[in-house]
Amino acid sequence: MSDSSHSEGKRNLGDPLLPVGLGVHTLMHRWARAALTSLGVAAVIAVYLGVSGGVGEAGPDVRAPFEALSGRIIVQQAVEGYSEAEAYPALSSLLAESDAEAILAMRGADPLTSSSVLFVPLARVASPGEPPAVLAVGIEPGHEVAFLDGLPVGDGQAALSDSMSVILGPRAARYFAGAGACETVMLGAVIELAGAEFEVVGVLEPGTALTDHAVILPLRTAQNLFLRPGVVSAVILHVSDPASAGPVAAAIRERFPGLQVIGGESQGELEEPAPEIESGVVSFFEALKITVLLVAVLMISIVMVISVADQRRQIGILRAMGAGRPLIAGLVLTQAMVLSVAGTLLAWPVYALVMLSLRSVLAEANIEITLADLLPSWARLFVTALLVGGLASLWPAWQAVRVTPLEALRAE
Amino acid sequence: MGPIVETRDVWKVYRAERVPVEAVRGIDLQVRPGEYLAILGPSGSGKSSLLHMLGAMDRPTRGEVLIEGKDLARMGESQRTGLRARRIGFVFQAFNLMPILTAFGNVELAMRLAGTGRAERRGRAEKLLGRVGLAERAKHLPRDLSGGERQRVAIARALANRPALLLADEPTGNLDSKTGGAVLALLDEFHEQDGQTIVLVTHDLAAAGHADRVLVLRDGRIHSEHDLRGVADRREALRHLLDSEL
Repeated sequence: MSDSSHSEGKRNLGDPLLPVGLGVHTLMHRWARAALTSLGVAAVIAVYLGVSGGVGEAGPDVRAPFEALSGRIIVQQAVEGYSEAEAYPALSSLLAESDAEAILAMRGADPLTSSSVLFVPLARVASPGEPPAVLAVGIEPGHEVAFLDGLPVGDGQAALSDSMSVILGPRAARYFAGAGACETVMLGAVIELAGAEFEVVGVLEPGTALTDHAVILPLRTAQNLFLRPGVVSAVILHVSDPASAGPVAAAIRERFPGLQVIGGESQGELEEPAPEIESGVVSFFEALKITVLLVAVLMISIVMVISVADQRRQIGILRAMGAGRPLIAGLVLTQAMVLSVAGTLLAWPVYALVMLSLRSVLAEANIEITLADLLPSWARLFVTALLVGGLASLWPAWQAVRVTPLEALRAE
Repeated sequence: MGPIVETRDVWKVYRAERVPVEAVRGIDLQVRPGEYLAILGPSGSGKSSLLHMLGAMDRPTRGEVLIEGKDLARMGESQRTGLRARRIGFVFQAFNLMPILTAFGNVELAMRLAGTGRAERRGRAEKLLGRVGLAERAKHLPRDLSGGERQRVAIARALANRPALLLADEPTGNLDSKTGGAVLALLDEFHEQDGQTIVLVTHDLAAAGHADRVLVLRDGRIHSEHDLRGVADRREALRHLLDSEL
């Protein structure tokens, strides 16, 4: 019966697919545990996908606000106890129109992109630090860019065509459409402000909180409609040469010492802290991603350690039958990999469902999400899953290969 | 032809709470090809420790264990693993089948570990399950089989790679006498028809009576040795011999 052609000295070269087959069989045998672990991993990887999306969103946006603010000066009545960022717009600020005109006429100011503005709240403030839910913004026709700062119009035009025309921010458009966050006022619709009817000539793209809530109308119309003749709230001044913004701001401060002058820095000055902010944001998200992945590694590792403890007898039997340590390590590795990949595959639907169900909430924050936006880089995700599985298998695999053949017999 | 396995003054000493325990004390034995040897002894006599060394699962503290002429002490981990996979078959008291695999899968597993090709191992697994009378139960998991059926699957698995040596450690220990008798009859069949070399470790006189030669172990030493070849009623003869020793 014996076959002496086999040499006892040969290395054990068994079926290379055996660890995979046995690993999958073992997971199927304990399917409830495997399914729960995969769901747990899915939840963690879904968070990872969310965080990865956050890095993509945050990265390019860090410098964008500085670009819009460079060379811009805002002049308004001083507001006590607020920082410059918090003070604008000062809804209670009232400047004499003659002072505003004098400021606009100062040397260095770009008349086309500068304007006096009148802010009149039309609804209550929704939450502290936010502008009113609807804010009337009176501005000189032809100078809308002073307020919009290059914000594009989603629908219609960015210019007020006549004294009874309005441009709406996206949230203001939803406000005038009535209930339902997804409905908006259509271009050409007529809305009523303080008893007068206005035609909507433009609806803005989502921008800042201030522009989103704005109802932009001609300055004179606003002064008459809201009974503020001869006064404005602020002057938005853009300088022709951003490098001269500082001297212009200083000249305004000198001539109007009672007024608050905000801005006047060049883009370079404004962007000085940008790299630090940028790297801080990126580092934060990277650390968060690594932490989330480590949680996934830990989760699978703990389950695998328990699983190896449960399988000690089986591992001992395999060792007694001639299974080498690489096979045992492969068995554990396969199980960890399957859990990790299955969890990762489940993660995307979980992530997509959560994000899509939050779409209306995110729309309130001007974040528009489509299914295409949520598609990950599958190759990168697959490699991540393999790395997570591989790392998670290290400790349990080490424990498994230390099981001796005698383990199978000791339990008898 | 030289012995398949040979021990020379083999000792196995364990340390239990810093106290050395001599489980095997200077045993010399030879197992020749085609032989059916029983190692008989009470619990704690050192028979299992000896079996572990004969099966390349453990190394001696002192002395030599030669398997097909190669010294176990000089073999590396992978060599001993390869030896267990290809040259030695094990049958355990607690069956030790893989619970996640069917009867067929368990028999095939031994051949997958040895690197046998798919077609060959499938044919051989079917044939072996047929020989142990379990062709119809091939797709059943161990939990769906009776104790006797499990042990028959274990025998088929142990013989799958045509091992030079079959080691059976109390193979009837978990079975009733009738089922145990059937399992021993199966071992007899493989020994007689195929010339399979078998080392059976047992504390049961009836089981030992199936062997050609019986080594009686006491306190880690060979107490006596009995050749039963040519004896008609081996069990009775063995009882008589052992009684006369006392």
